[in-house]
Amino acid sequence: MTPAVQRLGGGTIGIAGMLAAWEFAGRSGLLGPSWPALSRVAAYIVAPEHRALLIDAAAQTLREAAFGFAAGSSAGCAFALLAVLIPATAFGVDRFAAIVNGIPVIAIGSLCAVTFPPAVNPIVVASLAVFFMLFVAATAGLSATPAAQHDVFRVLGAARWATFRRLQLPAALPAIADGLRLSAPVSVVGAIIGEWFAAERGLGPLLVNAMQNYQIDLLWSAALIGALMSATAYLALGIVQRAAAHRYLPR
Amino acid sequence: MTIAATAYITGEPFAIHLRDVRVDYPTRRGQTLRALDGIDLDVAAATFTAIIGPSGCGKSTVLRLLGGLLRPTSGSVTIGGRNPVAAASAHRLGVAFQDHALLPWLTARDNVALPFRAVGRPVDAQRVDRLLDVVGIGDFAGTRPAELSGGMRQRVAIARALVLDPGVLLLDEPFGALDAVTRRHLNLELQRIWSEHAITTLLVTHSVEEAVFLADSVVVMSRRPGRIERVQTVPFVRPRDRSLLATPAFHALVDDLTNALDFTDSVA
Repeated sequence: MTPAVQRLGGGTIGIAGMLAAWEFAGRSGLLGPSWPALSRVAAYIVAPEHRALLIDAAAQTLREAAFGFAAGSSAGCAFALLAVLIPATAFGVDRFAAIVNGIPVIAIGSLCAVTFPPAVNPIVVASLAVFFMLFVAATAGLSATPAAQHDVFRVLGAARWATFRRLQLPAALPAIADGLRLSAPVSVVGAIIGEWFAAERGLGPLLVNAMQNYQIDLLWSAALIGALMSATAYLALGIVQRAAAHRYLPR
Repeated sequence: MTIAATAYITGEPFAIHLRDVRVDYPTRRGQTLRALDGIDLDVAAATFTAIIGPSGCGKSTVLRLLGGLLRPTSGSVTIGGRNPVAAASAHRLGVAFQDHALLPWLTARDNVALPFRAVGRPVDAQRVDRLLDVVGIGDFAGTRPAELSGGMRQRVAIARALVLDPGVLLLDEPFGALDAVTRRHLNLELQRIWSEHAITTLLVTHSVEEAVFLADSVVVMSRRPGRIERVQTVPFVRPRDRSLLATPAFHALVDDLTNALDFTDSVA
């Protein structure tokens, strides 16, 4: 068996075991009535009378997460570029990013809730959560270029911009792709937290309502859909990250 | 092979002058570390000079000064009458290090073409291909560094150093990480390439044999603070080939310089 097949096999067994344990715990009532079996949650999700509601909520959260992901990662990369290309700004940019990251997401969420309209709030919270991860990843990637390669560019008399474009940026792509992969689930979490405060649509309000009204199956359905969205984005960007690492990292 | 067919070095070679050069590094404790002291060195245009010396004697510091990567604390350094930073900005310096420093995402051909792109000139594809042939990797032009052997990577690095037709070639232990057989082979190749087109070359090396085989003169440096102990002219005619390595005169000179190195070691 090749290592790749082994990994895949191991992963499949692990996930299957976890799902089986979930199913067993639900059927046996081991963890009480608020822990339904997986099959029951799945049946709830696909039932025609719930499908429209869940799809609408999931699509709403996915849109917000996607916008937040795009905005936050662009801003994170842009700030990292600014700090690298104009070194005088590096200190200020770094402190700013650290402060943004230091505010708990829940605090950002409530601050944004009173600042932005409810429809925009989830996007803002998601993008702020993603921003710092991409800023750190891009800064680390851009400054990790090997010294000898920098020396070659300097001796050649390459301009600052050419060094950036031909050397630093390509060398940073694997780190940036890694940051994107890690921040994809964060954007989903950020969108849901942003929805929590005032939104009318999305998985967030669904979770709040289901919890308050003790709709156990709906609560689990929304949670499971959110988890699946995060995992799918993480896995998809993992493919991108591996491709970038394969091409741009020395072996 | 005629000169015209392989005329990939056409620019004017530079002379190099170092006058009373001192380099101090600040240490963490606030003291200064003197890396080079009182260095006077004249390198005539179109000659090959090797610098040998004990580890940490500042050999590489001399090369970093010439590459414009470091400024002297005092004294003057000129390449072709200019300071090294100006020579670098004019894209007239070629460099290869022990770390081949090839970009892993580019093929051998694109790595050799990189200097054109790095300085914003149109790529001279013909010249790139000719240099790939000169260093003997024409058949691997489309291969990435990861799939090349250590010796082949250094060949690519040397082609890259030559591609902009530099007035000076700076080589810092370019074969230092290679096995002995590959290293000797690349020395023969470098000697051949150099004999076809004399370009002012400075080679930093640990190997006395390599220095004597390749150079017109060998500079022996002392332990830190680096000073020049001796400048030895190498009398052997070019082109030199493998047979030189077996001659008593070659061995006598290598032994003599090795003794000089051992002496600088014992002084410290």
